[in-house]
Amino acid sequence: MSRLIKEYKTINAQDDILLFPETADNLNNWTAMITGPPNTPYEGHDFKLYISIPDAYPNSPPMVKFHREAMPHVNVNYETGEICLDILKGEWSPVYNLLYTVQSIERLLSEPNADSPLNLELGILMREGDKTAYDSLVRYYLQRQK
Amino acid sequence: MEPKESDADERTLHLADAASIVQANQKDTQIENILNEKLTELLTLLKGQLFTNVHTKHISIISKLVYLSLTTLIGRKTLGEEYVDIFIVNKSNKGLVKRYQRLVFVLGYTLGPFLIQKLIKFWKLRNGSGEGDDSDDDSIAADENVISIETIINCLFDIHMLLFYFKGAYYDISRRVSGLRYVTGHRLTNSEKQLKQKNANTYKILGSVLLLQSISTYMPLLKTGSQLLIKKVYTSSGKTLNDSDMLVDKRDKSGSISNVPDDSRSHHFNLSDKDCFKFIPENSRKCILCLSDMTDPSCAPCGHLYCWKCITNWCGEKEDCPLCRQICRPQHVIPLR
Ligand SMILES: [Zn+2]
Ligand SMILES: [Zn+2]
Repeated sequence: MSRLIKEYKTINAQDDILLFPETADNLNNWTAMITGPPNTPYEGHDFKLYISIPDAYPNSPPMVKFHREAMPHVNVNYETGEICLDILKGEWSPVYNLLYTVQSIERLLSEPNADSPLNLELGILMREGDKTAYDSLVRYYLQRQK
Repeated sequence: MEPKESDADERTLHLADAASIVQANQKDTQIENILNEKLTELLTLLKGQLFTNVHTKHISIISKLVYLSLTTLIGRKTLGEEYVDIFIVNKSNKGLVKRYQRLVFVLGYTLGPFLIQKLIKFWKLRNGSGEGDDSDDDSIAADENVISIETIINCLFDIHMLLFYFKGAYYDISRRVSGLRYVTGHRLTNSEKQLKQKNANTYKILGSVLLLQSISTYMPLLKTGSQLLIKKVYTSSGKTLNDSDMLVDKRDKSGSISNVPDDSRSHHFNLSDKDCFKFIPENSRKCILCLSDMTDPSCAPCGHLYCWKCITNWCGEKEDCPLCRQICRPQHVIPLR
């Protein structure tokens, strides 16, 4: 039995995890819901992740995106939702699974990484070390969506 | 038949040629696949993907069974037979086949391969379980036994195909067993006859190629078989044959290694068998890459264990250990034995 089915069974057995295949008959596309971590500008917001599984999984990492124009974050391309995270690229290891991947992205929300900006506006603020401005710009983006 | 035809030879129907039979078969396979697809779709809707993924084989058998039950079993032509205008007669081309023969064919055609596979698996398991407490020498003999059963089946199948290419009577074994032959449903014109003759010759060429191929496959097997026999005779007469003699024989003159058994024939160590590598504790018998019990546990230079297939596949992607990131080149992975 393929590894993806095994992962599906484990994930399905726990009901506190918001990670599921898009339709029951297709394990190649998944969606996940992550909640903004407390004490970050994302607190109180939920974000949807779109996950597509390449044929070579788990030897290739899953491809993960936010909804377009939904995630203001220094490591996320705001227009496309593309995420820059090491484990989704060269640092991927086949011992990671879907759940770990989603949790890493959740962690990325509270630990933005100034070294690989995909959002230039936020990247500049972050490099200047202006955390207050960074946070309020994120809040402004999120507010604007409502 | 047309009554004006006086020639007695023209009164009996012509046996169908290999080309028509193959064509009809292709058409039928196509339709069986469509049925299979639809059935899978339906079951996925009703029971979900997990169910259809687990039962792929069963679903394909059922769709074949449904198709043939609605056609051959109740005495109708299949769409493929209709397409090339042939129909089923008995062995001697003297009449139609009996109902039980058609039943034997339908069951053999649909369930046969499945049952044979199960049998081989069962046989392997039974041999495998007895292996642990036997001496080393006996386990080798048991291994050879399994090889020979699969080889015999393959060999029978090849002989069957050879007969088909040369004589063009039975395309699959279940038809041969139940004696279902084909005749052409219409009278052949002369030009058609010529064309069929040409086709038959092409099939004979194909048959000759297959014959050469099987000779080259089965000759080395015969050789190892006889070597094994010699070894047995030697050991029973108290002498021991130098093992290196055997190894030298496995290389042919060009120096390349021949006789490498293909994957299905080589022996696998599976940790789902509790007696296999007892020193590996209960909680580390699963491979973290495929999340299943390890098959052929293999050790990376750092000491981490994975399935042979899992770790070598990953090393093709990136040469490091998935768990600790230490360098792990595929040539340094060592399978446990
Ligand atoms: Zn594995
Ligand atoms: Zn390691």
